[in-house]
Amino acid sequence: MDWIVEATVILALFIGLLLGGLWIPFAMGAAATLLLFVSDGWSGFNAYGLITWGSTNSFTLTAIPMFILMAEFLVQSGVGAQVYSGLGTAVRRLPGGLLQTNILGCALFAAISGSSVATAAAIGTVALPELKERDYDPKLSAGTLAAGGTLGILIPPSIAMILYGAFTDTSIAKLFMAGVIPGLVLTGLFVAYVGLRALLQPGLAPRQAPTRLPVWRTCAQLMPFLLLILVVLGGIYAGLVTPTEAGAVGSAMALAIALVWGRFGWQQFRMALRNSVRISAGLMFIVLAAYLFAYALENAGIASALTDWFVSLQLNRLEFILLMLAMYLVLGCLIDSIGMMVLTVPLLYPVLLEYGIDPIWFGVVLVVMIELGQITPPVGINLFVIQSIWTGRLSQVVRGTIPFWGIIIVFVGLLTLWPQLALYLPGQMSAH
Amino acid sequence: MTVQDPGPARGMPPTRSALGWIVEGCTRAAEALMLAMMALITFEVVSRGFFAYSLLLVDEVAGYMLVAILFLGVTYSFRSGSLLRVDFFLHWLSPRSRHWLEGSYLLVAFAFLAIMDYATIRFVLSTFNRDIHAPTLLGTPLYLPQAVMPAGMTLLAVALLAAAIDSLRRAWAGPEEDTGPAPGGPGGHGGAV
Repeated sequence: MDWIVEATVILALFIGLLLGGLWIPFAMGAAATLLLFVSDGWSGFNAYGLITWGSTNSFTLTAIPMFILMAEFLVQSGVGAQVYSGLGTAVRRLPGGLLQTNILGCALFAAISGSSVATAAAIGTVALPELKERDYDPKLSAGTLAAGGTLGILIPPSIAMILYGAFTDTSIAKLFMAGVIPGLVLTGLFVAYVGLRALLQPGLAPRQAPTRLPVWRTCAQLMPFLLLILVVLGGIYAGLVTPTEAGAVGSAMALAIALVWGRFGWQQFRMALRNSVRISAGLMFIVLAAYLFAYALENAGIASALTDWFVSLQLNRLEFILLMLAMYLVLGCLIDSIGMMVLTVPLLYPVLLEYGIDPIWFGVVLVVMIELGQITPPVGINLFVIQSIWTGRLSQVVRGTIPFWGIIIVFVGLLTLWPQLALYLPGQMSAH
Repeated sequence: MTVQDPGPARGMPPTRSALGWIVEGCTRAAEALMLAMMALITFEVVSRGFFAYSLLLVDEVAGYMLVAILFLGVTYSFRSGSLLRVDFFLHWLSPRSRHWLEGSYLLVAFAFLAIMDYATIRFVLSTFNRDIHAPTLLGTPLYLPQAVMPAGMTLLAVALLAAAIDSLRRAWAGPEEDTGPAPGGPGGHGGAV
């Protein structure tokens, strides 16, 4: 069978099953199984055992449950309230008041959690009642939390980056460092936008009465988290620990923080463990299915044929990048973030190398595009996370995120114009 | 803020069926492994950093633990609605059509799992028959950590079949209260990052 027909049929089947509601790993597995059967008959399945073992028995991927556990300890103990309170005092002079605390709280929590969902949920739960009580604009309140939550996968540690690194054999430590400056710049853009809106329309964010908490108390509230960030990210940057080790040490520290500063009893401890198993097993099952899918594509020669076809188009680098970004914009409206990654990366990665695109830079751009997908209806996960913890309508959350959607698009432009935003820190690591 | 355990998804058999007990036992084993993994890796980092002493087995054992967490935990993940899916299409369907479609999907998933299960059983038996050991200090007989793969897949396959029968039975029974897609339906974003 001609590879184009084969690829079209398989991708149509996969996307049809996916959009029709079949669970992502089963949709990938079913498509891979059919493709292998068409290519090699029953003998095609001989490799399944080895792929299953080879793809899941991985020290690198062990970082996923460790960072999930770290976030769960913090989320279950309710220490998000402490981050929020500490930052609220620190940034009270900025125009936008608590809305700025939303953004900066999400950024800080993102640095101790690898997940956008955990970040939006942890800060959103604390923030929404406060914002409502102080009569902040509901749309902008929800928008800052949904969009701020997406920083969770850009600012390291990031589960999305671990997955990308595992699929492409790219250094996860370098990917983490590549996310630092873009994460800070995007946070800065969000803060600037909120500040500008608050100055132009003061009614959106009522001025807070100044609180006179001593500086030492603010520092004490934030210190454990800053220490955790220092150990996790500092350890990776200095080359003292691998990302997986940083995840384990971070989890142990998060447990200590939860016990000392949070409301963390036996029930919360059990719940943190259970949620970690639930989320990790679900994610790892998708990873396994993605490896099977990638093997089936490679085995049928589709991946290499697709690379040759892309190269034969003779696009220049910028045209190719714009084409990819357009594709991710469309996919973001249809498929969940991880689904977007596992569907495209095995197919696109060889093409990227042919076009001379840096895999670390692309990893960061991909994560930013996933962030965009997380606030794009109808499948944007952060919209639903915020909707599930407040009393307003989903349409208000969606409208509140529209300006942030625009900011992220502008930010992708900045990353394309200045790749060094992402590549500077990884370059410094190589220089060590 | 506390994230609640979602429990069994709508339309699923009660947790405390025989299957429910087995799934619960496997999930607890996975939780214990998760904690042990954290302790083991942390111990390695501390002992290496402060005492220049390495256990020289952490990479290997942590890998085995990850495999075990995946296969012991995936059935719970499925039953609690944490396997990711795009469910907006399912919301447009009537409850009965949705049950038919869910049942069909569950059978597709079961067929895939059956093939995977068969392939992994053959793989583990081959490792056992050829007496393959890990090329490491521990020299672990590899069939031991590998055995959890077919065990976990068999459990998931049984859970899928039970859910498929349940869904098709509801579809056959006719109109009923709209309970939404199950499992992993709306709000089933527990597995998302």
